[in-house]
Amino acid sequence: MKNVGESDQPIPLPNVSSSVLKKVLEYCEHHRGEPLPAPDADTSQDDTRKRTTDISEWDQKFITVDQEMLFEIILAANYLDIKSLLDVGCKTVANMIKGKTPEEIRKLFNIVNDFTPEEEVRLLALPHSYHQLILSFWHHQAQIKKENEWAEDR
Amino acid sequence: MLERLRREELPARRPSSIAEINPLFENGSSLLIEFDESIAKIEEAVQRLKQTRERFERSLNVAKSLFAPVRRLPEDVLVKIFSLYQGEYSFKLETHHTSEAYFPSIRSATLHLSCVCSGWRRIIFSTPRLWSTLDLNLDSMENANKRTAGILNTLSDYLSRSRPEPLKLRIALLSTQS
Repeated sequence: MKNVGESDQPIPLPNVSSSVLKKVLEYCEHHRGEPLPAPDADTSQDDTRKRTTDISEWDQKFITVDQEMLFEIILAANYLDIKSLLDVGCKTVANMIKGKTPEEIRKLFNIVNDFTPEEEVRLLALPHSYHQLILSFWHHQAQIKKENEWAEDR
Repeated sequence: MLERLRREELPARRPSSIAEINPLFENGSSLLIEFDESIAKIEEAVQRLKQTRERFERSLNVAKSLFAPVRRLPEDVLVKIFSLYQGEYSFKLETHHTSEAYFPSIRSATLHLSCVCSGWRRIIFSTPRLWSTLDLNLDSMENANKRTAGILNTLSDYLSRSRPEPLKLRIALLSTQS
């Protein structure tokens, strides 16, 4: 835990409920003896892509919980400074939002679109032709798909 | 009445008045107008009810959103999630080609996430690290046009927002068109 170091004194955990602590202990028990991740592992961007999708089978099963518990585990891992568990939680959330539109992400996490009408207008104009470019990208992808289907038919 | 219409032989006996068939029909036209007026009132009431429901749903969603578990995450954790989401590069300039032309397009994980809500947008716009990894395939950027100008604007925004973070760039420039 941050700023505590080694100590035999009881550690107060006001931010961690017993059910979450049980999950955290289950995780620690399973990964007992494994080497700790490098302290700067989360700041290195070189292997970000690999890390995004790379969740072990056991960890995936472990982290298959409802949203409330998922975020509680992430908060507990952050508070208790358990980097590997924090990684698993964050990767899970990152994977959950992959391939989703902003509206789908809002629905997923119960986030309200709180942009003012003026901000919405700015988002649509953002930056210059970003949305046009994205739209044309999807249009283009659809065209490629059509061309491929046409080629396969022949 | 339909049965009578079907069976009666022609020439048929004409009723003395429409009320002879059914007294209700005496004022049939005005009754229809009354029906229309009642329907319009009900439709208006339903519309008002729908609008009230929409407003209530919106307020309920805002209240639920205040309790959303995701809101409890601190900024540094959200930044970590955003970094993982965007992968190795936050900005990708790609080249696609149809039979007729080469086609530049961009994929920006950062801008995509910044459209979710104002809180995420504020965090993303104030985190240079999320703007500092660019993967640029410049094959289709040779001809200056409206599209390439748009891409260059976006790129310029990325570069200014990435300061003072060091850039991580991957640039490909293959002469695929020749």
